[in-house]
Amino acid sequence: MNPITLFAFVIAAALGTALIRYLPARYAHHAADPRMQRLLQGVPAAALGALLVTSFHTALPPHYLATTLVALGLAALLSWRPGGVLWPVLGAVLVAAAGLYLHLG
Amino acid sequence: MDKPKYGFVDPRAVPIAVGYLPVAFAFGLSAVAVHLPGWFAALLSLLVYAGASQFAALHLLASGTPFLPGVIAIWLINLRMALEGLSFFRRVEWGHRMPHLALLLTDETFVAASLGDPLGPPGYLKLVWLPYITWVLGSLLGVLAGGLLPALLQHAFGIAIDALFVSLLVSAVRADPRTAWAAAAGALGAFPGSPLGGWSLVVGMALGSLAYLIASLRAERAA
Repeated sequence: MNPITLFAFVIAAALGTALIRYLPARYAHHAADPRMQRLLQGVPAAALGALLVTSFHTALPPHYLATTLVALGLAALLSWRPGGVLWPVLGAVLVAAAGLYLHLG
Repeated sequence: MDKPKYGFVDPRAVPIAVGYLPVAFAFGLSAVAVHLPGWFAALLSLLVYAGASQFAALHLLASGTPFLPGVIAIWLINLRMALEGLSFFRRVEWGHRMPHLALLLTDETFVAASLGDPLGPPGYLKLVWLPYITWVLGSLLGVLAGGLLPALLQHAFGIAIDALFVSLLVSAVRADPRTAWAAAAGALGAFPGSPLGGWSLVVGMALGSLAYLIASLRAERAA
């Protein structure tokens, strides 16, 4: 594609995506039906499960499965007591770095 | 509503940004690798700000997909954001007054913003600005520098987003056990290798919210 078409591609993709984000936000308060509300309450956790399973296999290469599981297990353990997400995430990154270093080193 | 102790950045934004950096960097590198101009990658990150669809755009354009099917594919991949926006902005009373703030909502910031107390506009901005800036700058760095981040660190940082998801999930399930059903159904619907392809995430989210509704109705009947 030539530069003008590429530019048009970005603008069209951006405008469509902006509308997809904007319109539901603008009219979300109309979704007052209790069943609809309960349906929507489940969306964040559903998204969490869906994203976790889709990104799990790309977090670390497949042959580092043990490291991945230990790192994420530690994150779960550190999250058991409420106290923010920074320590669980930092712990997982440190375990992942140490695991990779041991494998590579 | 907001927790003033957060300062300028919500702590939950940090792992999201840390996770975004290598991905955005890889996006910039990939754009250059498939011989697309650097400005195209940077502009896509700046204006579209949706990782999965941006990577898809590179593949579509590199494989010679025509303009209109390419653009429609991007919209379809991003359609799940409508469901996310509907879910998040229904919970906040300021949503219909400031719907433009939805332009900075991503999968990860949506999950972080939705679990816990409803955020006000300042709290929401404290959560979303850092991941956005990191995404755009990371893409630029990937285009300009290439190979700056050692592979070991890139991989280790790659786990940050998954650890964030695990942490948020544990907190959510402890607060409301019904969310475990929603997460399990969401994971099942989006399982990798599903014949649904790019739709698997949308189907997973729809299945998960249906599972939550059923679990709520059963709990009500039992009570």
